[in-house]
Amino acid sequence: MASIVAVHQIGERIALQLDASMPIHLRDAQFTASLQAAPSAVTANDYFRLRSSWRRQEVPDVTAVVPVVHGVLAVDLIEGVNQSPPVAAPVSSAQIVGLDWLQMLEAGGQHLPLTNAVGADAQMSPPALMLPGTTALDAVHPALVDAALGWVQGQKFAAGGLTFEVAGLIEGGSAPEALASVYVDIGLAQEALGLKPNQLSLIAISQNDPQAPLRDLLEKIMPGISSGLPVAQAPSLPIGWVAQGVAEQMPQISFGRSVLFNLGALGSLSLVVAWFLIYQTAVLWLRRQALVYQRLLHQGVTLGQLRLVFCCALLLVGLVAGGLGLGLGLWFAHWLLGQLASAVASEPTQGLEGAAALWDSFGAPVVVKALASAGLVSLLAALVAFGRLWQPPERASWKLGAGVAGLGLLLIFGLWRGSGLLGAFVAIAVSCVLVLLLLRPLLEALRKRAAMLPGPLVWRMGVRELAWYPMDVAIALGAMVLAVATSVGVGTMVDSFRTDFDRMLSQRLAGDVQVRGEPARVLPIVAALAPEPGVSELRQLRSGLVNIAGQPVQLSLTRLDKAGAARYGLAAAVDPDGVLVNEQLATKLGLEVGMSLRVQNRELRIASIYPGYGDTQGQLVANDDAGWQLTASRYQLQISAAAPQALVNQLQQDYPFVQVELRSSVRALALDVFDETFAITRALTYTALAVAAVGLYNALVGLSLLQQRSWRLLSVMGLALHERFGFALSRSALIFVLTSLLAVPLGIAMGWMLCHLVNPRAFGWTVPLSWSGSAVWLPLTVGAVVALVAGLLSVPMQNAGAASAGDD
Amino acid sequence: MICADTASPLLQVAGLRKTFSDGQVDREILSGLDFTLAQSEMLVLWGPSGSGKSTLLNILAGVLAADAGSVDLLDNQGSTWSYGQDDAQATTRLRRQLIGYVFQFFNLIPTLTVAENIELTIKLAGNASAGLRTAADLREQALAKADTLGLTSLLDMFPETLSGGEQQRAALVRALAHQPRLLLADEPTGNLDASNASRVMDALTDQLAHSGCGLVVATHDPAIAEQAHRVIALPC
Repeated sequence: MASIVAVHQIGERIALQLDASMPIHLRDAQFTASLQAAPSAVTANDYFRLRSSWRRQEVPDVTAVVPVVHGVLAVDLIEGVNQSPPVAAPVSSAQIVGLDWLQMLEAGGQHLPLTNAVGADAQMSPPALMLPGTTALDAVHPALVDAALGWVQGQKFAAGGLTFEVAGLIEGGSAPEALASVYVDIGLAQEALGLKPNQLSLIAISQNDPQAPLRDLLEKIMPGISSGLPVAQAPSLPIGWVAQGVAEQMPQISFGRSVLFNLGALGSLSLVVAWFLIYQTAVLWLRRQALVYQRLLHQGVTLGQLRLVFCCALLLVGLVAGGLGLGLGLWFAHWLLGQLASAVASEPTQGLEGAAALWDSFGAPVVVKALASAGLVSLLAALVAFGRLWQPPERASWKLGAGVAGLGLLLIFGLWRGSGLLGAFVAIAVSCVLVLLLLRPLLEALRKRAAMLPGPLVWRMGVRELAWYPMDVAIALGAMVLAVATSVGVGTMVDSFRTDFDRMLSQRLAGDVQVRGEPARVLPIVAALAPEPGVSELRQLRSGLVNIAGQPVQLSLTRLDKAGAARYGLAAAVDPDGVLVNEQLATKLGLEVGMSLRVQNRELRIASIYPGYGDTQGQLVANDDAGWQLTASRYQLQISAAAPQALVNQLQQDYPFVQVELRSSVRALALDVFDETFAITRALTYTALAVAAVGLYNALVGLSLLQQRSWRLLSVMGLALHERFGFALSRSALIFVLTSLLAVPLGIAMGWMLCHLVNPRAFGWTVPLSWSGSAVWLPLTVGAVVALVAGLLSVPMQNAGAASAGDD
Repeated sequence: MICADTASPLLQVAGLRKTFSDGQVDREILSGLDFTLAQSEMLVLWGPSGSGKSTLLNILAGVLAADAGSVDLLDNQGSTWSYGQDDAQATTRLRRQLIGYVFQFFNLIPTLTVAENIELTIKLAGNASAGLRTAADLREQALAKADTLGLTSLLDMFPETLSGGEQQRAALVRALAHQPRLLLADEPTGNLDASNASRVMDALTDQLAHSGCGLVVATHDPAIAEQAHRVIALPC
């Protein structure tokens, strides 16, 4: 329960962060509309054309169409409130977002055209939008600014040659790593950004999604679950238009939500293992009570009444466990967040850490979730245990049916990509069930061959004990197998991912210094650095949107010589008419190497399909030449320099509006974030292993109690303590062998499914499975220790059984 | 009737006391019990349920410590083993080599075959077993005893496949396999039909006659009491 609560709390915190990462003006927009012919160039005329189609109801289900202009500008705080005389503030930069201000005024400031987030979060009043004496010709214009800037209402600032006054503050309007946002009227934004009067950055579309309430409810119950659900269908726009999902344009948010889903699934693993534990307890309890229940039955109490009493008792246990789990879960969440650090937000401490913050998000959903999970798990375990003890199931006929059905489900969800992330996890769950179904037949087969078992007698006894009571140990062993297999699977996936990620970083991060930014900001650097003697190589990459088969696709143009091609894992230079396609686009359009692709009336041949790590949208990379008509939205430089750090310092000082980073820092940061992200998954798998250990101990104690008579006899025969431990050791050895036998193949299969099913469906790219010894031996070692400790700890219970010999 | 060698006491019990407590009420089960047991002597403990028969057997077996008193057992080499209030751990060797125990409810290890159950006793006794016999000798004698009791064809079977009588006979062979000096039997025929009960008692008395061990039997069965050299009646 602690694990469930912890994952929920962490999930909720991260979900809040992710929500905050979404710019306010896009929070209610599911899609953006662009022209097929020129995805990067949208004008006000295009907007009005689309709007009139919408007004004529030619675009069903769309609830809003909103023009947006955005760009980065230097902002200069020129006057503080109650500051006389005005003091100069340090120069900063911000994302200027232009919206239809008139629409906001019409709405009384309570709603932005697409969202009510401002009404809920902004500390502004509607009249504030109309500053005293403000007219279209006034020199001071109202603006809503991100609270992260630290400004207060009434302060004035300059941006793009215009003067603005802070009319209201907006909380959480930008991603932690992104520039703070300033919201102004669309016309003013165009003017400040130096755009043509009718030029737009994008047109946002809000769509009526009937699944949204259900999605929201599920998100409350399990943050991140929406990543596993099918995405909303894009609206059918008029001919010539194409809709692109906002989520696709915010890869960090999609990535974060997929991570959340994975965390949620892992957190639920503890719940499954807990079920095994509770079931084991229920079986043990029932066995102790069997005589009492038998007598009560003879005295006229019905089986239904006994079941009710038993289930209520177990339910009570579950609810108490749920309550305790709530408290422990908060602590656990706090500890795990320390591990998570900067995995999702680049500023590790921002909003993620701190018990107080966790306490803030501690509400009814998590309480209900904990108690309901604990109650249901206990109730289900009690019902199954009661049913099986009083009405033992018929021999394995149902298992065959379950096995066949399971294989069918595995094939369907494994092969059918449309089943999404949820389908991939169902495939994993089904494969687990299939392997667990093998456990009892395996123990029964072992029993049939028990007489042939070699070795010392005490060892034989220990080994056979497990085979003799398959019903008592199969469940605990199953939990153990599941926990170890998950550790192996997750470990294999993480190691494969890391190997691949490391390789990708080595390839892509060519050069010593990385520079990223808007073309207008970066191009002057190219000119300035060209004659620099300390710069040995300067590689340029410009990106913009193009249209491929009705899909807006990011086209990156660079020099694909041998070094350039090596960035995408190729050994040789790419032909002038060659193009590289990322896996996401290849999967979406069914592209293969050697096929032709028409881009901007140029016939290109696909030279390679590369894994698009971190991309959630289609991307093309082609050789740059003068023939391309691309309106670049991003520009990137990779510079090899004699003194990289000095160059970084110089560029950061001279060009404050571009992102300048040292290659080694980017690489180290990326790997740190990676390791921290997956530290939490490892912690969760080992938590499940700990729960399995308790279950195993419980089962072994149960066996000892069941074998009290044998232990009394052995005690009388003079079995020494070290022989008892030898017995326990042999039993643990068999547990370990069985666990390894089933958990390793299952774990590797799970790792394969995580890499080849979950990852492509969650993130869009396949991770090649890399064999890693540590991913296997580490969980196996922990499993061995768990088996050993549980086995040895149960020895005192044997002694207790042996000593209770004083009955006459 | 086998003649007991009263001149050389095998077992001496003196001032044995045992009280059980449930935390509130103390219940004295044994209050200063004294007796001796000669070689080849059969002693019956007679008394109603709760009189302390099994408690006494457990103290004699060294699995339960008395509150006061002593138990002295003479081994084959003429050494005396003193115990009674000792910790059960300290008497492990005593139990392995000198004591054989037969219970009412068969008490074979369910996960070992009949042969393995017998073998376990021999293995635990080790080569230093009473009488300086080797494990091979003990094994040979045990198999002969199993043959006498009609168990040869059942040696490779697990206890759950045997009848009650077969299980008790197998348990008897197991208890005698290491040639114990002191045989303890707790209602050995309590769960058997007359024919099987007779075979079990015959085997026990035969062991007395041939090995010179002593036998203490806790029973309610008057027929067994009649076979005993002495009967100690434990008060309620």
